[in-house]
Amino acid sequence: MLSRLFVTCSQCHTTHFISFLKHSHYVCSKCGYHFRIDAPNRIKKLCDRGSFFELDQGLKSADPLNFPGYQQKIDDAMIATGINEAVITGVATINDIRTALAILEPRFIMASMGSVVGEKITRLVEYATDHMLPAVMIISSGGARMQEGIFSLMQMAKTAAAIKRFHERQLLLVTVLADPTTGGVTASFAMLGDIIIGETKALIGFAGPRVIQQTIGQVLPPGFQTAEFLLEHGMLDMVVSRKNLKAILGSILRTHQQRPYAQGGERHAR
Amino acid sequence: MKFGKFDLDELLALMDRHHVSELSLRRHGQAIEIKKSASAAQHSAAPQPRPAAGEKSVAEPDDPETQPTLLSPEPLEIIGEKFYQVQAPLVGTFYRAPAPDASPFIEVGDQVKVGDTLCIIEAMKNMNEIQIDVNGIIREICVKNGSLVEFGQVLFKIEETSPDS
Amino acid sequence: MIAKLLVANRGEIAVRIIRAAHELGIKTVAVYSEADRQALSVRYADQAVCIGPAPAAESYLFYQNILSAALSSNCDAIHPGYGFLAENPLFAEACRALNIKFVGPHPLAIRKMGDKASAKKVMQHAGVPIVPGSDGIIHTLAEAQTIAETVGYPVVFKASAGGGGKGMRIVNDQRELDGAFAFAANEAQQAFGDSSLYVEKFIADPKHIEIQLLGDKHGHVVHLFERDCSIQRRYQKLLEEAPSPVLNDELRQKMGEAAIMAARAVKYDSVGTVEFIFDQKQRRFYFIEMNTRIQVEHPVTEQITQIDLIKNQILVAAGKKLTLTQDDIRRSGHAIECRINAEDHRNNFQPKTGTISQYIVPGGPGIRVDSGVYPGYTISPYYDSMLAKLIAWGNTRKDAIAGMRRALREFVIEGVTTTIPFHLSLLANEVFLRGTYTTNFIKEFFE
Repeated sequence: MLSRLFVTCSQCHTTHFISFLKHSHYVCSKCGYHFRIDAPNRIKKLCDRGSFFELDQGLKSADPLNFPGYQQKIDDAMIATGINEAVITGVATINDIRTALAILEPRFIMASMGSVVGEKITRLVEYATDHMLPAVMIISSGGARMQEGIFSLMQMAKTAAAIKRFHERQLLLVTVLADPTTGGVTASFAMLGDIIIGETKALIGFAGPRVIQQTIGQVLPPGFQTAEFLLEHGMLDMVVSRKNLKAILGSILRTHQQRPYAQGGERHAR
Repeated sequence: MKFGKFDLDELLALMDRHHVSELSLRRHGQAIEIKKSASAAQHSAAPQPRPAAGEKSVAEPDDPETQPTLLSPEPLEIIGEKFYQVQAPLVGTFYRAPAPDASPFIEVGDQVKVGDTLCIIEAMKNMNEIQIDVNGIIREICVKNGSLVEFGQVLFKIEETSPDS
Repeated sequence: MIAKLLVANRGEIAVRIIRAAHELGIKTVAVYSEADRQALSVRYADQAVCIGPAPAAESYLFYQNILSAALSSNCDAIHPGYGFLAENPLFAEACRALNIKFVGPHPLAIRKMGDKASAKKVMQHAGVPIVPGSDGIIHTLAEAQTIAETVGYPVVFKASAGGGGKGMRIVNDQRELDGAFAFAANEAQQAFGDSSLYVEKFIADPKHIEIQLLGDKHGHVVHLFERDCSIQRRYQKLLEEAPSPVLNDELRQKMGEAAIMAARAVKYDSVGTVEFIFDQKQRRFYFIEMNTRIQVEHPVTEQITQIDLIKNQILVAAGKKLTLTQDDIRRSGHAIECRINAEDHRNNFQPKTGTISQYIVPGGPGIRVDSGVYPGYTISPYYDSMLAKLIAWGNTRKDAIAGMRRALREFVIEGVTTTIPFHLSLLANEVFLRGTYTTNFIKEFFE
């Protein structure tokens, strides 16, 4: 029972009382390592209390390719997480600003993107487009979901297209890349944010480091594929510690509040 | 730098006062050796009485005539702590073995390499393994089994060896 | 009864706690950072454990090493002092989980009173007068505006998660509301990681009067009268006195009873302080906040009541029943405390480091010095700049002031800049001597 009170940081091996860790947003106070946290926890920490309204909660995955073991995997994930798929979408207020919100769930088959994830993201973006809302996405993912083959890959195009139409309405998309963000998700909606934020020391990439090393036959530089590395190489706009995430998102949303173009009308910035 | 409650300056002053040319001191956790070269000893030499019987004999300055004239810019050669010191990174209870009836991780004289576990420090009921950062031979175990260790306390002294020896 | 107590603090309060523990026959363990190796508390304690490097976050706030030190040295209690972990409910709970007595109130009381907005609510329910304002945290500017219009300008935004002036913004009229809201929320976020604000009527020119409480784990609570702490600079107290020169016994009793109501509302079971602001013109007092710890200025209360607050705090933590009744608590005379800091009062009270070369402590009747420094002590930049608390007691306020003046002149601290000259000019000030000074006093006369 006593062991349940403690968690050890996998980076610096400091022991933490769970209560303290929770209070510091699951960030190790010694080394800054960001523990992976689940989607419901993210919502609690990010959204104004009681403001989150979920959309498309009932969407569940089918098994279009009859991939062996896939249905079992989905059932297990649903039981383990208590949610239907690897993304939770909805509307909430962050420091009083109404925003469309998508949060990937790392515990659900590594938050990999299949048809349902792609569909929910697309529907959320369309909702935001229709209602003139900004959109914030908290992303971590293992990439496109292998078990749905080409259907998964297609989601990359689908989500990108929805975001294109969203952008045509001059609306703001902020994507927050958490540890780890990889594969087809990186190669699609994750990198389409107007503002792309990386969480401290998050691993963000497309292909895995081993594959890259074997392919190019070179040793990879230190810090390769970390958020800080990406920032240095111009792939991100900022690296933010989870402790400051809500405040910074609130600030970005507040700054970009505007009444978007009406037909031939004037844009008012606040 | 400090040795116990003495500053280096104070030790040097003491050496001067008593015309000591070589000083070697040891206390738990620290060892220091100071050697003054002849030219420095010469510089600070002053005529002094012979020690009376029963008094501690003090090293007498060398006869300046017989000394080779060397004027080294650094008259002092300070040899600090010889061994690599493993310090406790946290506070807790020190255990030499993984379990009460198990054999200790290491003994004096054992050869260890980077990453080997030396001991356990129990902190808040959690067992933290302490691993070594260098290769070497255990020369001294500085803490008793089951005692409290504080932050920074010297646990082991290791004589460093090169990786392939 | 507690056998071994770990003192999770430093400086003068660590020395104070060790003294009380030793008088009770309790063994002590002092924890210290690498910068405090030569500390007086380390010297006085029965055992000392180094818990980390100088920065507080890696030592005095690094609860892991503190709890571990307590367990490994077989302590059955921890005294958190003030500041650091003293009002961290997580730390209090962690002590409980490890079967170590926390010398302070139960964690829920800390939580309830730690959130300023919720504390107000609790007080309101308990019937303690509060400053009119919002019912808890305000979420929108519109809410703030409605409240401001109801209670009347000027109003003040305050941070729910902490004090010390951070996240505070006075609003004189509606036009200032928006900017003040954003500014205060941002400052609160930076200081406490929580941008939650509440709003209340701003009472200009108040006195800050607080009531000392003592409760045990058996439901008994008593108050030990008030302290006047209105002499503040940027929300940091500089001088405190007991009793307050502006209260009469009727008001004193009312405030004491209100403080006890506050304590009962959260089943308060340790030493604590209820802070009120006192409107001299209206002769009314309002609850501001409750501090769930021993306070820096506790000695003035000890001097007028002859009751040792730290000893009692340890005893109630050990489970002892309070045998004192409210009638047993009498006051006698007047006490003043000057906080002597290593600061340059002519240069914005800038903290100064240095090594104390000469240190001669004043003495004589009624003089008490609580300090953690000594000749050769080096003030480090890592912690607060307090050198010593000088407390003077006299039969009357006049006597106490005379005693304090004399003691300040006798006090020799060389090698560092001190605020002794500041205190001497303070004690010569007309308004101070009259006793009607308010929290704006320092701003008006010394800035």
